[in-house]
Amino acid sequence: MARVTGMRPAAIRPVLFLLLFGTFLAAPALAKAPAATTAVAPQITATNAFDPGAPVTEIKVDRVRPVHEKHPTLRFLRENRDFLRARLDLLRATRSEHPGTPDVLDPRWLSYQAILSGAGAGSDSVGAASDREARRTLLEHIGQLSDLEAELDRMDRVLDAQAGRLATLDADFAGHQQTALVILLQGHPAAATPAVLTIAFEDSTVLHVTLTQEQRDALLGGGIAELWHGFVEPREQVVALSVEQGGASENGWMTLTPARDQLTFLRLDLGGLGAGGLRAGSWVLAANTSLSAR
Amino acid sequence: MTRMRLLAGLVLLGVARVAAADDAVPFAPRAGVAIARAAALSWSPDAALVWIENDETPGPLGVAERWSYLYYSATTDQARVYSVRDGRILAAENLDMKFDAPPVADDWIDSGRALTAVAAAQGEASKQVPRGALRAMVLARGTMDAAEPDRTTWTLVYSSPGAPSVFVVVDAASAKVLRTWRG
Repeated sequence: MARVTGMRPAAIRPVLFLLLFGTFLAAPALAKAPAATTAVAPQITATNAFDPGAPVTEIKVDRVRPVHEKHPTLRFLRENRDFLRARLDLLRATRSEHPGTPDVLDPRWLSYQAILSGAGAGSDSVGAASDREARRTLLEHIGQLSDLEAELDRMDRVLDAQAGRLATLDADFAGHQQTALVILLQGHPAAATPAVLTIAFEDSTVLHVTLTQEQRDALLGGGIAELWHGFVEPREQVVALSVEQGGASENGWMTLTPARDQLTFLRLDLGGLGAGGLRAGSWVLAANTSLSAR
Repeated sequence: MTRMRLLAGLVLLGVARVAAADDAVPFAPRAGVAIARAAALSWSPDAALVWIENDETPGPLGVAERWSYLYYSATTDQARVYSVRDGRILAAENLDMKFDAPPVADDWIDSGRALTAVAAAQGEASKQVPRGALRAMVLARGTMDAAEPDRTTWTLVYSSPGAPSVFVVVDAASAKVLRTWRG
């Protein structure tokens, strides 16, 4: 947990944005929990870290679950399921008798090994150069200043090479933003801030979020909690929210459509809890950041 | 009387507008792969496309208003279908049956070319079969061509009242008609 309350907003803004983008760029670490119930610990941070910088669309929070029309799919497959299942069984038996050809290996996986080796060699040379530099400083021979300059040039070249490697990784991973959703929580009701929230997705994934007293105090002070960050499908879908407070629960259903290959924020506002109801808004982050070596 | 006619006209106009709004633009299935794939990779990083089928009746050019894209994940051993219409995912659901089909090849011809191949093959007497209306178009691998299980094929299904359906299997790489049978 990174609690940053108590600092001046203007002073912490650059640090928070760096942390924020660092999190977003670590996309491979994200995973959509497949149809499971998960307990999550929210991250609390200052309000301005999640300043949208883009128009926020108000999301209507329904008090009853919206009903959607059922669209039939795969009629032919379902009508012939027994025949097709039998063919797949036959296919599997045939393949086990005759092992198939190996899949083509993505050449990028091989290049990553070279990138790792290059980065390791670069670190070694920089480390060795540092040792040599220390010894030379002790000798303080003017004639060795040119050598020192050469070493600095070499370190410069190592940094350039590192920038190239980062650019490669950037193109393969961070440059390809998948559809993702960040759920944020802010505000506090007139009564006590709830301790438990439950968020349910359409694919049966359920998140149970427990807020500690410290986190609730942070929300009271204007902080924002990041409840969840993961991949979602780029389609219209309903997210259900249940808030436990004083032994009773308040439920809301929000229909949103995460933008394809972009990062969408869903901000839940507890300010209206118990009065006018929950409020929510969403916006899309334009992912145009890139990694840099320096 | 004039008022009644005016009212009826307005009602008809409203109905026509609603009908027009519901009309989706028919498309060939290749156009819907990108959005379906984006969703499938969010569902499971190893999701592979194993089946494409029309969800609305295909037209004479092999286009339909809605297509389904079925993805299979080997790590979860589950399949999930995305139904695409007008460039958007209209429905998404896990398949309620085990269907660990092999992934289709990347270089498959689109449905229009498969339909053209079938029409051209009608000139060959050996493959000439009286058909009905085109009911289904299915892209798959390993299930419709037992002789060549690694081949990705289009299967076109024609039906007519009171008669067995006609199946035509087309190689999805070469656009060659492989088999025609009634069943």
